[in-house]
Amino acid sequence: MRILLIEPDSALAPIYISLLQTEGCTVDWAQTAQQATYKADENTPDMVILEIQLTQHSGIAFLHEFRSYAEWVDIPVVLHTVVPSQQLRLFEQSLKEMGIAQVLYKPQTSLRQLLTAVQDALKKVTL
Amino acid sequence: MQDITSNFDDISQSVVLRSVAEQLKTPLMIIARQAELQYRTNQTVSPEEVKATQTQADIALRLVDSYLLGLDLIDQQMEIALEPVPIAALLYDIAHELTPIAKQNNTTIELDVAGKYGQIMGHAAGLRAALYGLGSVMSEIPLDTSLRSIKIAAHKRPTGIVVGVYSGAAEQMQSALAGARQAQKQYRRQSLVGMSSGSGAGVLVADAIFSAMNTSLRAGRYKKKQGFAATFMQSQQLQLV
Repeated sequence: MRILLIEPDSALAPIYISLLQTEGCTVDWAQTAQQATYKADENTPDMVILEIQLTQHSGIAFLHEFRSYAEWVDIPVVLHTVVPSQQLRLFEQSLKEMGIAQVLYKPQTSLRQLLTAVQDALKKVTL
Repeated sequence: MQDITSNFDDISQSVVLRSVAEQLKTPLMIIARQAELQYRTNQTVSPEEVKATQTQADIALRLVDSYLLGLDLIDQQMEIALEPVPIAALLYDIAHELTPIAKQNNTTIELDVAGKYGQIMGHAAGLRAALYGLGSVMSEIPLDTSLRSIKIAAHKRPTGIVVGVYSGAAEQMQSALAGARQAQKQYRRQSLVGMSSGSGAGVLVADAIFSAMNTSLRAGRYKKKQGFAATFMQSQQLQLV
């Protein structure tokens, strides 16, 4: 399984990459929305883990762009973000329309919980 | 209690403190998740210590979040919409979330919701943050092994539903609240000496959050245990079962 990890923090990203690799996933890491689009274009991911608080373009802008391509419409996206759920309510409608598999609040999400979310999202793909 | 709210309100004026709290999240996340990764992948010769590091960093993260939530609640104090909160389910969740800390400290957690209280009027996220903060304080207080249990409970009083976290340590409870208030007035650096500084501050944050919900945290007693509690109005909303 190939996962596109969009994580701006260069200290946190290697932790998530190691975790996913130990579970047998191939991980493409992008720090910005632009990089993420290039990476997805090079190798279509099976799923995306997205931090919406990015530099330059926001993760929401990336989502709109990502979902605008027919071949990426059904790829599951898990939001793994530092933005608290109260603030995400502002984007509730957008997120529904973008078909987000799950929203995880990063500061209170353990690696085990992240893995469970990834496995759930990938299960839906393989069904 | 009013003093605490106004002091906290002063703090909320400080953009710097809010920014510092936000900035602290990233290093704490790195510590917690790195420790968890090492633990999961057996990359350590001292798994128990690594697990303890993760737990402490996670507690600190929750505390920072609770602090920021407290600031938000106070900033919008006039607009806080109290909502019906199913108290039994909330306490069950908190007991579940506290389990890793309790385990680490050889403490057992008892859940006691004596009666069908349905819903209370409160702010769900605020209640969760405050009670978690209190629970984490309790589970770290050094006690005799025979007393190592904390009780998370709700019970009815004429004034409303009392929601609290209790432990066997009477003196520590009293001094914890007094310590929190001294810390608030800057007479002390840390609310509970001899414990992790992060957890001790949980009392302080809970105090401020409850104040924002127009109730007050007080030292209380329930079923021979001492602890912290606050009183809430029962929701009059119909319960459809």
